[in-house]
Formats: sequence, structure tokens, C-alpha cells
Amino acid sequence: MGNAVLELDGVSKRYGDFLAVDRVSFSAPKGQIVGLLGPNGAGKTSTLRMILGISPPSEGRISIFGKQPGRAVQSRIGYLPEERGLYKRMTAFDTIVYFAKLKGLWGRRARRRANELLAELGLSHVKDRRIEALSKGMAQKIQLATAIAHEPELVILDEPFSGLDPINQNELEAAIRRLAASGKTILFSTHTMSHAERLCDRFVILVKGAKAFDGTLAEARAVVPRTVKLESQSDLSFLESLIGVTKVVPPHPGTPHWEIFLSVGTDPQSVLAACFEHGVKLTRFDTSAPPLHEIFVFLAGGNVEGLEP
Amino acid sequence: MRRVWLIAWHGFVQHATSRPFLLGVFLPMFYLLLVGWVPNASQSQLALLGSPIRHFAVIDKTGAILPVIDAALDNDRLTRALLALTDYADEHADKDRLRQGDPKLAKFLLEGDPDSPRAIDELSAQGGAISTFIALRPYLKPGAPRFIEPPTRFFRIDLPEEILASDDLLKAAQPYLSAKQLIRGPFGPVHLWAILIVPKEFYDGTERATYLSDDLTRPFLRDLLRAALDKELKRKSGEALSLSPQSITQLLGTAREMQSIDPDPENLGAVTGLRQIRVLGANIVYFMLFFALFMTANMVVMALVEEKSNRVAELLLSCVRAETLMAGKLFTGLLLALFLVGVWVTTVLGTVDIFFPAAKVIVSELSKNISGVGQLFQLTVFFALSYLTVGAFFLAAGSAANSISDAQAVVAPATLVTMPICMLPLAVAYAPDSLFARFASYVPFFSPFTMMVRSLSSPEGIDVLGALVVSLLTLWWLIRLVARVFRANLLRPDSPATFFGFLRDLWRAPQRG
Repeated sequence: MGNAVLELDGVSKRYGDFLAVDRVSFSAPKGQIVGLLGPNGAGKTSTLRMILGISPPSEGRISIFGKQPGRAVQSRIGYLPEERGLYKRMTAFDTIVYFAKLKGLWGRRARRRANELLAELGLSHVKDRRIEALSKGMAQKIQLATAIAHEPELVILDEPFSGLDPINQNELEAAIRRLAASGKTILFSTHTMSHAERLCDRFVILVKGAKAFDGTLAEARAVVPRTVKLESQSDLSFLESLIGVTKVVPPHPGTPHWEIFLSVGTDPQSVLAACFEHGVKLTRFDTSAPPLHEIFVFLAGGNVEGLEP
Repeated sequence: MRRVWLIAWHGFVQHATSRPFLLGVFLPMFYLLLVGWVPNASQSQLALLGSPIRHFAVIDKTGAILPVIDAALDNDRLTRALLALTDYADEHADKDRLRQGDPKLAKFLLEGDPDSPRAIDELSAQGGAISTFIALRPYLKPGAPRFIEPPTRFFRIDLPEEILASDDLLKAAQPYLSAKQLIRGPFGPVHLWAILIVPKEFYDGTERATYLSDDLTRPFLRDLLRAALDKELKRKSGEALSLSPQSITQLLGTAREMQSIDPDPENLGAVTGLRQIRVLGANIVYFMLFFALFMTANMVVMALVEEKSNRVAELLLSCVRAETLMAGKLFTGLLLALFLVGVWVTTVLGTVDIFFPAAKVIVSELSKNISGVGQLFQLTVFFALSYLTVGAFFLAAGSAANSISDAQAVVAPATLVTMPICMLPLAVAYAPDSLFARFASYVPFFSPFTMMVRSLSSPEGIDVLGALVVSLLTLWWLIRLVARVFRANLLRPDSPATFFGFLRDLWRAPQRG
């Protein structure tokens, strides 16, 4: 990928005998939101730590802005860790300024940036309040502010929505969209599929440390077999003989709901055409695309511990 | 370097404004006040009750000794009063004005020998200590306190009839002498301290006087009585030799006056005492630095463990390298330790100055361990090197811990391991320029600690330079070694840490590269 900000090539991470990440390769194009998806223990955090240069890969190569992770690119990356921790006795303002300075901003600019971010995140009124006195949602926004205070080109968010109420989740989603709109590349890990589905341009799905998928949502849907839901009083068993139909699930007694499972690449319209040919009267024909959760369940082969729709 | 400083300063501010640290800063002042006030307060209570007066009785079978004893008691009271008065005049009188205004009184109080019989006679002639104080008063410095005459030490009382009439005097007096029973004194019941029995044949020399007391370890009364009896015997001998009463008085009063001079009045005690104070001072200073060092190193380690457990460490590592973080933490501890020592020293000096001015002379002696800015700088440098050596080791150990209990499991043995390095140099305080001290100054790890103690004397320049080189090289090697362990440990999966695991990591670190 020519305009990739981040590239991983056959990256593995081993802790003793345990293989946490297994030859993972993917890239994040500039200005896109890339979701790193997977259930608990899939290797998401280990992958992010290697990208950040916090821990070196056991094998493979990582390139960020064409360079190896570490000091050379540290100031161009913003990071929000999974388990949020800030200095409880520091004020919101001082916290943002401190991390901005650590990322290379000098005093006046760091303070100006802290004020801007507090205003942008609607937290100006808690500027001088200690972190321990803030609500969890507010503290999480402050943590996001610390990650982006130095205006990084690549923002890495590890489970940014965990522990947030729906209102704060929406606000955080909006903030991430604003970041992407301003040209930042965003890589975020999550095990909550709905956020990823709404936000991401691309997905990388990890299962047991290995990559199971890498692409757009449309590409993901293309690799997942489709299901057609039909409502009819007629007997639709004849569809079993149709090419591309893998399974026909008849309705429970007294209900008209049929489920037709198709093989990958089969067009659902072929089912509709067959029904017309047999003069079947349909009261419902539903070919809606599968949600990301279903795609993930399919790709993970049922290994979805800790996964949320 | 800017990031190291940012982390160090941030950590310093966080710790220095925390309650546990402030408690550690100000507790010594509280202890000092306690240690100084308790004895003072109890002494004040004793002072309210008055100094102890020894009550004693005399059984005078000669019929002539009692006036002699009473005269000796009067003489003792005057001697003590004159001693107190001369001390008082020395401290509170405006000497120049006194010499100009009353040269005779000035000579008597400032230059005379207060122990001499002549001076006692002169005091008696002036009407006693209070009359002399009244004469001195116009020449006192402004704000001088009132002179208080020392109370009488010994008071003669009469024995009850039951003792006097008893055939076995010793048995009859025993309950009184052992304070099981009190005897009637001039102002109420008192403890009978002693009985002097002067037999009838005392003047003949055929019988000797007997001194009865339950406590023979404090001989002041016995010595006073013996001196009085000796003097009386000499008087009688003089009479036997047909000497005139004037000649006898002259003979008995003949005594050389003695001048007492302190060659170094600014210093406290004897030369050996000074040396002991200096050694004690070196030990106190070393212990203070040692305590500050371990206290702050532990604080920084515990803070690191907390940062590790709440993932702030991860956030920091996304901003800076592990080595930068470690250096920042090390300097946090160093700043804290220097701050702590600074506050302690100021607090002690302030407390002594305000509350215990009498102890200033001791502080002054202790402070003579550091004679100038250069020596203070040298002490600070070796303290910093000592801190960085221990702190680096502790941080590496602490980085293995994922929880406070983990930290305790790792840091406590680490403390014990480093203890000999920190304690052995204490021996150096007794002989800072000995061969052992010089040898220890060049031994890696021991070097900065030894020089910390030796900096309180005046080590040779070559030793300072040599120890500095050894300490810096040791520190450079140690930091490189522990930084690898620190980096590896910080993000190790959450498994319980052990001290032996830490040692193993340390051992393998050079192979890790």
C-alpha cells in the first residue's frame, strides 16, 4: 500500500513458550480508521505495544512512517492504553500539559494545546479539578486528550470504549471521527463490534494471535456466506437442490419463517428467481448484509470469548 | 535530558506534596521536640519541688562538734552560692561597665578563685550571695534573669527519742535510713539520709567517728563531714601545741588560690570528648543520609509499582524510552532525598535555635564536620552517587513487581543485600584516614558510601578523585545492566515476581544485550 503510515510484515511476539502474536501482517493507510478486532487474548494489545516500540517483536518487521518503532517516530504517535491510569492528584490541565511536554511540546504550546483540547472535549469547566474528582467518562476524555495533545499523525487507541456509558461512547466516537477528518490515521483495538462497524474504514481481525481477516467491511461480507430469510406458507424444500444453497432450515410449526444458507459467492437473487419459477408466494424476502459480529463469529470459527456485538 | 528532568520533577512534586512524605519530613522535628522536652519538662517538675536536700543527724557525744558541723554546712552553702554567682556574673554582667563602676566587685567576681577560703570570707563579709547580687545588679546586661541562690544541699535535723534511747542504734535507725519510715524535718516528714556518730573519746584519738547511710555511693555529705572533723582535730592539735587562736585560724585558712583556664572555651568538653562528638556527628549525618536514601528509594519504587499496575507506565513508555523513564525515576528519588535532608537539617537547626538554645554548642560541634562549601559539595556528590547506585538496583528490583505485595517480596531482600554496603562504611567514621578507610574508598559499590563518611573529615585529594572515578564507573556499569532488566520487567506479563527471579534476570542481563 503506497500511502501506508503503518506496515506490519510477518510480526510475531513470543513470551517464553507462549506465542501471543503469530506472523501478523497488515497496513494502515493514511487518514483511515483501522480496527484491530479480536476476542480477549487475541494478541491485540501485544501487537499495539510492538507498534509503539514498547516491546520489540520476536520476529518480523514493523514500519511506521518508513521507520522502525522507537524514538524516531515516538512524537508522531499518540497512544491511549487499554487500562486507563492517570495521576490521581494532578489536575486535568496539568495532566494534559505533562504528557504533551513528554511528547516534545514546550511549555507555552503545551498549555495552549491543553486549553484547546479541554474546550473541544467540553471539559473546560473541570480544568483545575483533580483527576480523582472526575467522573470515569471525563477521565477517559482527559486520557484521550493526553494521547492527542501533541497532534500525532498516527493515533493508537486500545479499547477506547471500554467502561464508558452510551452517551460518553457516542461523544468519544465523534471525537475519533473528528480526528480522522483532520487527516490523522487511527488504529484502534476493540472487542465491541458495533463501534468498529460504525467507525472503521478497514478491519484486521485477530484470532489466537493470528490474522483471520484484513480488509473493508464490504470485503468481509463477501467472504462470509449469506443467509436469506423468507416468509411463505408454501413448502420451500425444493430450494435444497438449488446450486449454491448449502442448507434449508424449515420454519417451526405454525410459523412461516424459512432460513436459506448460501455458499460464499452465491447471489441471493438466485433464490428469489427459483421461488418465482415455482410459483411460490413470498410475504418476506430478506437478504440484509450480515452484521460485523456475525462475520467475526464466522471468521473466528466460534472462538469469540469476550466478544461483544 | 529534558524528558528525564520532566519525569524527575513531576515525580518530585507528586511525592513532595503527598501526606506520607510530608509526615516523613516533619516527624523528625516532632521527635526532636519530644526528646528535648520530656527531660526538660520532668526537670522543671523537679525544680518545682526543689533540688534534693539531704537530711542528716549528728549524735555528738563530745558536746563540742555540732557548732563545727553547722559552720561547715554554712561554708558549703556559701561556696556553692559564690560559684553560682561568679558563673552568673560571667554570663550576664556587662564586664566593662562592672570593671569601671566597681573594680573591687569586678575583681572578686570575674577574676577571683571562688573555691578559696579567702573568697568565702569575703562573700560572708559582704553579707552573702544575695547582698553581692544586689551590688552587681546595676552592671547587668539588659534582660538578664534574676540570680537564684542554689538551695542548701545538706540539712541537719534532730533524731527522734526512740532512736536516741535505743540500745541498738543501728537497728533502730535502719528503717529511717532505708526510707521505710520518714523522720520529722523542719517543714514536714523527710528521708533521713545519714547519721554521724561522734564518740566521746573522739578528741583523744582512741575512738573514731562513724558515718551511717543507706547509700555510700554518693559521698558528698560524708566528705564534707570528714573535712569538718579533720579541721576541728587540727584546731585542737594547734591548741595542744599552745598556738594562739589567730595562728591556728591563719594556719587552717592557708591555701593557694588556683586559677582555672579553658584553653579552648568555644569547644565543648575535653579533647577526647570532642573527638567522640565528631565521630558521633559523622555517624548521625551518615545515618540521616542513609535513612533518607532508603526511604526515598522505597517511595520511588512503590510509585513505579503503582504506575505499572495502573498502566501509567505503559503510557509513559509510549512517550519515552525505558532508560529515560528509569533515569527520570532515579532523579526523582535523588531530588526527594536531597530535599528531605535539607528540610531535616533546617528543622533540626531551627528547633535547637528556638526551643533548645542550650544545645547550640553541640550543634556547633557537629557542624564542624563540614568546614566549607567545598566539603559540602563533596559530601553532596558522594551522597548523590550513593543514592544512584542503590536507587538503580532498587528500581530494577521494583520493576519486576506487579503489585505492592510483589514489591515487598522483591525489595525487602534487596534491602538486606545492600545493607552491608551501606553499613560497613560506618566503621570508617572512627578512623576516616586509616588504611582500611582508604582501601574501602576504592572498592566498587562501597566507594561512594565510604567517601560519604570520609567527606565529614578531610580525605586526601587523591582519594577523593580515585573514589569519584571508581564510583562513576561502577554506576555507569550498573545502570547499563539494570536498565536492561528494567525495560524487560516493565511490560512482563503479570506473573508474581520473586527476588531470585530478579537476581536471575540481573545475571542474564549482559547476555541479553
